[in-house]
Amino acid sequence: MSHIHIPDGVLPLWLIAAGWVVTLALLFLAARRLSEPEAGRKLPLLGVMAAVMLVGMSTEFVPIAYHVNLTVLAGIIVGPAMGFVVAFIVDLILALFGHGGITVVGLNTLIIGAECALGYYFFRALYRLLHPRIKSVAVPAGVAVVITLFISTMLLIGIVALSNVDPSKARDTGSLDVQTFSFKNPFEEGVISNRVINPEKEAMGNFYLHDSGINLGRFATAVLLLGSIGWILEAMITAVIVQFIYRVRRELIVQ
Amino acid sequence: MDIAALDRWAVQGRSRIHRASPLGKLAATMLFIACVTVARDVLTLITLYIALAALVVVARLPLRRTLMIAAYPAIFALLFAFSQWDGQWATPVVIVLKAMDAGLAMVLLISSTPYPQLFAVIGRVLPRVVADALLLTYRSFFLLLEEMDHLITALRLRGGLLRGRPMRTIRNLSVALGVLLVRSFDLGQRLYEALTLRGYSGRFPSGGSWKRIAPTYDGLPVMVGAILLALAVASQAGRLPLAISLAAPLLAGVGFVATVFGRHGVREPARPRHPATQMPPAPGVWQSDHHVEDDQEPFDHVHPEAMGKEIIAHVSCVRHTYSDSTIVSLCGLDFIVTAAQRVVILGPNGSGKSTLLYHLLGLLRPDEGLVRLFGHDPAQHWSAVREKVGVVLQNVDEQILAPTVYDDIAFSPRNYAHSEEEVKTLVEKVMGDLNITHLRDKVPHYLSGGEKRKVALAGALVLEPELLIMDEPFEGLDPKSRDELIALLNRLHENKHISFMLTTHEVDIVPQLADSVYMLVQGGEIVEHGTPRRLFSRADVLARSNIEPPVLARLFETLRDCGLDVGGSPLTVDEAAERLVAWASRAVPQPTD
Repeated sequence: MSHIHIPDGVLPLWLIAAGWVVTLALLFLAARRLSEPEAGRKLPLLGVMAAVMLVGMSTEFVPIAYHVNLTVLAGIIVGPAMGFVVAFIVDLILALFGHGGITVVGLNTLIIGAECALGYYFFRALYRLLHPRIKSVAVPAGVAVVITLFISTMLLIGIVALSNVDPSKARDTGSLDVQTFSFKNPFEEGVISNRVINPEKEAMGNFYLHDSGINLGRFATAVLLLGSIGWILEAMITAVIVQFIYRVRRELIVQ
Repeated sequence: MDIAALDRWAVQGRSRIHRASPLGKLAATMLFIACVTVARDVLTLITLYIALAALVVVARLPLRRTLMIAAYPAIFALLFAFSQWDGQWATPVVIVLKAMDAGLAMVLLISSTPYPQLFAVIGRVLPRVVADALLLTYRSFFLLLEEMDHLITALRLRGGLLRGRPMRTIRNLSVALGVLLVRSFDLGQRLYEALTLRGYSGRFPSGGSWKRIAPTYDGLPVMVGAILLALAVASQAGRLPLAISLAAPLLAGVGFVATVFGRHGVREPARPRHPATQMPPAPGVWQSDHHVEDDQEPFDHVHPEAMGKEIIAHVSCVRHTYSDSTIVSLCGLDFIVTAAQRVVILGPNGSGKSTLLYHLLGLLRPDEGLVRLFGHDPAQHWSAVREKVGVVLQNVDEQILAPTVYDDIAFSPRNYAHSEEEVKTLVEKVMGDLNITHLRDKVPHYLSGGEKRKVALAGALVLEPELLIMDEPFEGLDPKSRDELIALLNRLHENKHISFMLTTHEVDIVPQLADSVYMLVQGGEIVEHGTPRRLFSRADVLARSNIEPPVLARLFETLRDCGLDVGGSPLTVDEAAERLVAWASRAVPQPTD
């Protein structure tokens, strides 16, 4: 639910950079797992899965103007490692189309990649737990989506919280000041400071941002409120799709 | 999000911005994004937005629609704006403006740069598998998007998208996505087969064109980006009024010059939606020299080696079991292709035509029976024969893999480690042979059906194979494109002595391009083999294979039934005309002087 919600220029540079570093490291690890002899066979699978996610995002579910992300579905089908590569490809293409920030592709990939991985493990666990009693795979799929998206939304809120640890005080975001246990901007003295909040109310008056951080409580309330509607819809849609695939190509869902 | 529209604008545009190099545009975009990141006041961000909008105008993109698409991220930025509401309007406005500016910068980049060029640059910094998957994603996306459109149309026509029943609609759309997903895995499998057949060796090969820069056109976006970044930095350093007083006239001047140049620049005509209509007229295929000689009768039921001919393909009583337990058993007569022979395989749906070809291509391994291609078992030793065989699959979309026509034709030679010089020579030669040089830098998914078929054929012929294998090559082609392809194949056969074998349903074209015909029946048995003349004169054999006789054969049969002595069934229009003229001269009394 979170890939589109972080625009460019809102989060601090250190967080964006950290997101890219971790994502690229995981991406290289995932790519290494797709060893050379297997790459030829897995490559088209990666391509079409990412393409299906993009098609899902391009399909408007009338009349509610909602589109699906299919991240959990991708995780269920291609697994966590390939799911991470798929998440990166989808995020990069979306960002290139202005659909979400390009600088935050790293962070978004971590969130979506986490959705793929968590979705995979939750679905597997629930399927094993419920399977003899409940024959439908829609139930474990739907439940896995709700749990996964709840966790990924908390992850998003966590990332936003990291960007501004104490909304009432922490205007300067950057390196950790161990004395006050707050983050301090490493570029504070330099020319480039990417704080959203400008502490000095300067001559331009209202044209500048004011001394206020992201109100985490308000942000979390809004995200969870809007997100919960999305989780339910995504869970319903994923459940129907998983059930359908289970009926026609069972081996794709349960190896 | 209208990815298809942005992609179309990128490919079709001819403005100054479109002509700038991908490297230049990426550099400019990074400057814009840096500006977004640095800026924290409304004025700077509005200036950036106006400058980007001006570049959209210079790029001759539809302004309103572009701004609407680029405004999409602003909706989600509202969430952050809401979270930072402090009673002052500046904070949320800055957040929304940042999202809009960044969105517009990216949309400007993607709608003025065809994806192959963009991905070629981006792919340099990504792991190989990821870079290749990125290209395949984009390629598959357009195939699947079209498929999804068809599914939604079918849903609409069948009452699956009903107003007032949102839950039913959501369920039906979900099922459509499920269908798409299942089909996409089949597509993935076919893409894998195409990659294998075309020698994929763990990397999409590419030339060095991504390094190219265009100083004449790169200057404008890079300059605008640099000025705006300077403005943002200056504004943050508290020197905004000075920065604005310098930047505003500079930006205005650059914009004016660019607009004037842009307006008077050479505007190339828009690419027609179906360029096949502009192709040169098809050669007179009915006057082709490739008539089958009346008295020619190939080795029916006789092993051709006994006739001193070199066998290049041989399939004998092959049986294959598919994963859904369907069994295809290609028994009956042996299937044999000799050097420089043109072979057509006829048969109804489900008769195993594709199974036969896939065994020869090593994509299927027989449960039992013999498959030999140039003396090798293709399932085990494909690498030994792959450069001798060119392949055109039924759906050519699934075998055109590279981002541009040139790169796609160069795909196999690059995979087989030919030098870039050799690749260039080979590709240009085959493009010249097939008369598709004008398509060289086109993006494949915007080509017409006939053009795609030619590109796929060029990719199959680039290494000058001895055998060309084609699965339903005429499917979906209009008559003109079909006639062009027939003429082309015959020309290749005549000039280069290439053997080819193909499957088709179109019985009327068989006499024009077959030395030998194999007939299959439902279930896979090869029941007949012979020249088109011999087989098409046997109504019982055609009926057994569920094949309608050619229209000329039916016409002459009807004439004979009417009591006209027009002779046997002709194979070509010329032959039919000759017989009718002969009959008329006999039947109608000649005037006496």
